[in-house]
This record gives sequence, C-alpha cells and structure tokens, in this order.
Amino acid sequence: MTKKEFLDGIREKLKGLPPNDIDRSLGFYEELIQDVMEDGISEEKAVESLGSIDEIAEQILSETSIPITQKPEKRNFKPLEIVLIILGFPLWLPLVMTVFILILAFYICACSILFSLYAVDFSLAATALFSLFSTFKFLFSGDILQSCGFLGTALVCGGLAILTFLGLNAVVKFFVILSKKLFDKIFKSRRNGK
Amino acid sequence: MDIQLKRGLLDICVLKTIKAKDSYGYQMIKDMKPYIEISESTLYPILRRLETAKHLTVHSVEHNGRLRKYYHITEAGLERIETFKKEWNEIMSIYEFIIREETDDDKERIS
Repeated sequence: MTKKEFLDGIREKLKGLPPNDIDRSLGFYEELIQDVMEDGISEEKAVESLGSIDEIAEQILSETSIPITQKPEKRNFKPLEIVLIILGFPLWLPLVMTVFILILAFYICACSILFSLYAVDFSLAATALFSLFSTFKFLFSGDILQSCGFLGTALVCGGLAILTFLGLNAVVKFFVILSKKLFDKIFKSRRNGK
Repeated sequence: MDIQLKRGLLDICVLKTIKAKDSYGYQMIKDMKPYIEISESTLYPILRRLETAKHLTVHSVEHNGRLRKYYHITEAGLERIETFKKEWNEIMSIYEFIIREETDDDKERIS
C-alpha cells in the first residue's frame, strides 16, 4: 500500500469529523511515514509499520471528544405523505386545473376586450383620415357646407382616436405590471413553501 | 498490563520524551520503545489529549523541505511528571506492603 492509499483510506473512515481534525490527523501520520522512510525503510514497509487503517481510524474516533457533525438532512416526503398525495389526486387535480383555466380565461377575456378596443381605435383613426380626405374633396368641388361637416367629423374622430390610443396604452401597461406582480407573488410563495 | 494503568503511564512517558528538549512523533516512539510498548496509532491520540490538557504545545519546524511537528512541554506538563513521581512513591510503599504481607503469611504457615 502506498502512502496516498493509506491516508485516503483513513480519510474515508473519518468522514463526519470536522475537516480540520481530519487534516490534522492525516498530517500526523503523513509526517510519521516520511520520518520512517528517512530512516531508510521503503514506503510500503513504512506504511505497514503503522498498523491497519481500521485500527488507526478507530483510535482517532474513540479519542475524539468532539461530536461528529451531522450532515444536514434533506427534507424528504414521508411515505404516508406520498401515498396521500397520490390518492388525493382526483381531488387536487381538477382544482388545480380549474384555477389554471380560470386564470387563462381571464387573460383571454382581457386580451379580446383590449383587442376590440384597439379595433375601435383603429376604425376611429380610419374615419378621421377618410373624413379629412372628403373635406378637401368637397372643398375643391365648392361644397363648403359638406366640407365643413367632414372637417368636424375628422377632428372629432381624430381626437377620439388619439385619446383612446393613449388611454388603451395606459391600461395595457397597468395590466402587464399587475400580472407580473401576480406571477412574482405566486412563484415567491412557492419558493418559500419549499 | 492493565489498560488504564498503561494509559496513565504512556502519558507520562510521552511527556518524559520531550522533557529535556522538544521532539517529534517518530523520535518519541523510538525513545519510548525500549521501555514501553507503543504503536504509532496510540501515540497520536495521546498527543491530542495532552495538547488539549495544555501539557504540551505544538509547533512546526522545517525539515528536509517539509514541515515537521515538534512538541514542547509546558509548565503543567512538567508538573504532571512531578506529581506522577510523588504518586509513584506511594505506589511503591503499597507494593512493599503487599510483598511484606505475603512473606509474613508464608512465615506463619511455615511455623
């Protein structure tokens, strides 16, 4: 057995002790092996002279008053909990799905309302544009009254289009921020719960 | 030898090996071997124990390009040897008493 094999073997046996203690113990035995080898004894013989790995590890462990540090245990589901989760799935699955579908439906509704409002906005803008076009058309053909009527329509529709556009943008912005907050909350609570 | 008795003796022997001058693990074993049976695996726990009890201190000295740990006896360590010597006197008188008793018994039996 080489020095390295020997020391690794002891390290393995001392697992659970504070790392400082393990390093100190191994340092002592490494030094001993080196000193024995300096006396002209081969590495293998030097390692052999120290005794067996089990013996040494046992000696160190029995003399160490420091309590063995326990590795932090991962929280695992108990068998009963797993069984309950599986058995309860006809109950919780529809509930989860209902909540999910409700949220989805809400989003679809909100999106379609917004879409239709944008469509209204677009039609207002189109009306304004056509009215403006008609205003000039009747102005050149000499029908001042008609021209004035179309100018009024164009101005009203144009104004409304701009106002609704700005209003809708504000609503969309608010909506996006709100859903972002909602999702953050859901994920945060899940992370905290874990 | 009784384990408890040997354990106590080993502590004193280890302290004795560093009483005159600081020493290192392998040298200490070599010094002790003619007098008391000691293995490398028993020395380390003893050194740890004595260090915790502040009977010795450890320091590293460079030797052949590596660090070697030297052990130095403290006042408390020296005191421990002295206490042991005193105690041993008591033990010796007890021993003499035991021996004497045996011989007395023998004499009685003979007469």
